[in-house]
Amino acid sequence: MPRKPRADAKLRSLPPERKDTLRQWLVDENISYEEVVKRMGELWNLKSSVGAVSDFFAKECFSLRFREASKLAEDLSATLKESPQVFDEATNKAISQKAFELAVAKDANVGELVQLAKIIGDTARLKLKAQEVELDLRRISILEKREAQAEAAETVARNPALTPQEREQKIKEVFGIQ
Amino acid sequence: MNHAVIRKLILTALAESGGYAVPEKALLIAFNISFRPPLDAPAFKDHLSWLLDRHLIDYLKDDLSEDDRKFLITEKGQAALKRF
Repeated sequence: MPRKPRADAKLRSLPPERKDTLRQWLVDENISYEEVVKRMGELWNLKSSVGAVSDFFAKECFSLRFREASKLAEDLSATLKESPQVFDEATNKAISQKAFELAVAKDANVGELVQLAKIIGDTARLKLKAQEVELDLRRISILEKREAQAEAAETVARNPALTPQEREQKIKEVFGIQ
Repeated sequence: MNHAVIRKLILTALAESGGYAVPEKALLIAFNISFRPPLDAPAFKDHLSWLLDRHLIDYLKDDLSEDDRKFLITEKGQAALKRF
């Protein structure tokens, strides 16, 4: 025996642009189910019922919640990717996932926001620490180079076989002076 | 609401989530906001188990907290959703 079609089947098979209009009435304009039924009859010559609109609205709202949370997380991810020097890919993913969860949750609370801020803060701190270490390494490298130059210059200065002109030339070479 | 419709709605939610994992609690709350009669947690877990057993969904655990499982739709789940 064929199954009875669901009440909202007619609405779910509407062309995409009409579905968008329907969503707009229900979600953005927040108009009553009765008014939606009336509008569809007047504008589209479509007979429906309050029950069908109610079913459609429930499913649309349910789907919309996840779709919008996903979009929000994607937008955030795209923003974070604009600054790859601050957040690595794994951190970007962790932040986007948390943002998605906050957006999708009905009862997002301060604790969850703190957790998100902690992820961001930890990464920023790690990045600063890495920059400090890099600077220290560069300082050490410069000091080592200067020390080597000083030793080489001293060796040249103490070499009795060199004339003053030769000595001056060699010392310039040691310090990279043309 | 019959079981098949509930399972299809769970798959729909996960498919709309664009690859982000959905916490079990958030999924149940969203479901109960939109549909009547509301489902209790054990009944909802049964539906999740049914979908998990058939590899239509998968889950992961959060490394940062002791929160509940977070669900994702599998390729098999995506294909099943199109057939519904």
